[in-house]
Amino acid sequence: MNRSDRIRLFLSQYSEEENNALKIDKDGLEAELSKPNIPMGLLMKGLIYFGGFISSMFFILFIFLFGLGNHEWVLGGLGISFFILGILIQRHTTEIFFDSFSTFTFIIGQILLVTGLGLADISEHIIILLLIVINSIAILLLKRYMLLFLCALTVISTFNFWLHLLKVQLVHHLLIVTLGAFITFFFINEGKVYSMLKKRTEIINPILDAFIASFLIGLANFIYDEKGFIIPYEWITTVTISGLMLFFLIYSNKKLDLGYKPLTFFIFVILLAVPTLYAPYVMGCLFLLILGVINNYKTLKGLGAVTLVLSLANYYYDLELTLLEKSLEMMASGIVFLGLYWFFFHKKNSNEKV
Amino acid sequence: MTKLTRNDIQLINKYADFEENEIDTTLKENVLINKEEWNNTLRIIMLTLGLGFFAIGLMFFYAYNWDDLSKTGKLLSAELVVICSVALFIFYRNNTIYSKIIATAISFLIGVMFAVFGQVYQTGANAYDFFLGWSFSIALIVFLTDFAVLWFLYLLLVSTTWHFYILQAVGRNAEALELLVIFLLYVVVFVFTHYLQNIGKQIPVWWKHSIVMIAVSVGTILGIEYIIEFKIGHLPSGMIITPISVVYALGLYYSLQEKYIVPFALILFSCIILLTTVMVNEADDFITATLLVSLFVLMSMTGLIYKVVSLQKKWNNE
Repeated sequence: MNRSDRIRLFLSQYSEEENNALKIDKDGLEAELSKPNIPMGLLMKGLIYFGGFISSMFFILFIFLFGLGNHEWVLGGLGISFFILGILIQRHTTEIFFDSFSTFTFIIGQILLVTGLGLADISEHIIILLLIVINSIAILLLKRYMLLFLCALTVISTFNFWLHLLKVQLVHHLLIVTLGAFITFFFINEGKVYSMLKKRTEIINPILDAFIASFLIGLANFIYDEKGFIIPYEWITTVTISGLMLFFLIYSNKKLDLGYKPLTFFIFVILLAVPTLYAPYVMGCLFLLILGVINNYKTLKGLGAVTLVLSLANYYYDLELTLLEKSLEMMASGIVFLGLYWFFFHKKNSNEKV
Repeated sequence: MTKLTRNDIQLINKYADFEENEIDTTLKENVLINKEEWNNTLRIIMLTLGLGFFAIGLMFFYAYNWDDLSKTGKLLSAELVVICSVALFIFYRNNTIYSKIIATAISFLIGVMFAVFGQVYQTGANAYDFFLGWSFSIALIVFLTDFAVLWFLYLLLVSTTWHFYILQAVGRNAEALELLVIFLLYVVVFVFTHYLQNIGKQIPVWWKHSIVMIAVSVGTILGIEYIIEFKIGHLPSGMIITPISVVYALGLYYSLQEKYIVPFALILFSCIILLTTVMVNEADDFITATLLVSLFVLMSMTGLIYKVVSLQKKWNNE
């Protein structure tokens, strides 16, 4: 059943079941549903973005080769004009090619602006602040998924980079925990968020995805340490993420009647957190997987599973044991998991779970 | 009852006057997980993690002690693994999808067995012999199993064998010949697939997409190498230009007749790339070339996308 039929069926069923009718803007809904939705395969979209990418790369090359690379203010001015052009194109078109073109114009504009300001020896802190302000303003003006996602991602990543510059390592923990708390808050209060952002529903998905992507980037910073930015006290993040995970599990258990005792969740989280105390990325990826599974958010499920496997591989790689001991430990963990499976799911007599 | 998706609920919320708790209830009924699905997911996760950890641990244990094994031990373990898989295959022979997956695993393990032979008997780094032997030994298995994934991997194996033949037996300057034969191979496979589909055999969609994509990519690389005159060797230009042009023209005609958009878009995109290469190659002044290329790609991509979208609209409405 395609989207229009599903929605119409739901609305008719809803007005039958509930006594008070739902006030619906019928004309608006009908207009939106009857927009022709041409199924564009992934291949086509990839092709279009690749074409836009080649075109914009050659254009940047042309600008630099033409000698404009020496004049900082020209670069900066061009940057601002491209960036505004990108926003204008996007607001006035629905074709996918112009959408991708505006994306690349926007990105080129920002790159040119940053290069120009950098060459003019303006302080890095001001550049970062400017980037954050421009992208935040752009979020208020834009409408389509790709650019909104990129703007939100830029804002948070620039902030992350700023922390690197200022060399305040401990705030990194705060950043990851805040992002995790935002994501959890979104999923717990989804109804409230939807009704708050009623006028601007299109920013919900991109900003959520940007938060998730930045959360992963923050976790990856634990693996790829730069010189001079080794993050101390990794256990802070592990403990806080485990706390968030426990809270979310117990809350969902109550809300969705999953039928588990809170104590089970507590033991489960402690069992996994203690060995990986100094490797917060394992708990982080497991957290994303659990969020995705409980909320049935497809990309998050896949992303959580893949990143969990990668982080487990990294964890075992980093362990300072001999290969023999590592292999024995892996076999032992496997047996533990199989034992848990047997214990929980092979009870023949009762259907009750512990 | 068909369930709504999250995007549907967001859309309804935009135009209707939903209350917070109504949204939450709708989400709970349609989108969020329930007890049964949660238990199923937990079961899958625990089983996967348990078996996965155990298997990888066993493999690492083996790898750690590999050097201490005798020669007989190494050969014996490789052969035992193949025998166990064949036994599994016989056990599952009635269950189609399991038997096909096990057959794929057997084909892979035969290659591993040959590699172990090579390592034990120190036959030297002769990749061509290894791949040739592997291809011949699993040919019958692949043909009888008739599993799309296995056929695809077998095609990749045959291409690799041909690559190593050219590299070791013919010499370094024959890259064009290598690409030409691979190009023709995949085109022939595609034509064969078309006839099989006409007879009534079920061909998965990804198979046709992948074959077309590989064929067009190899054709593009071949074209680029011809244009910038890179490692052509002794192949006359006619032998490169003619097959590519003929195949592209026929491909465009085929895609319009069969209403199959993928070859159409890919072939025209490949032509855009080839024309770009010609422009960059022929231009004396690199700077103007970059501007020209950028504008050309922009306009041709716009034209291509318009044409693709209008074709799809026309075919959807018929």
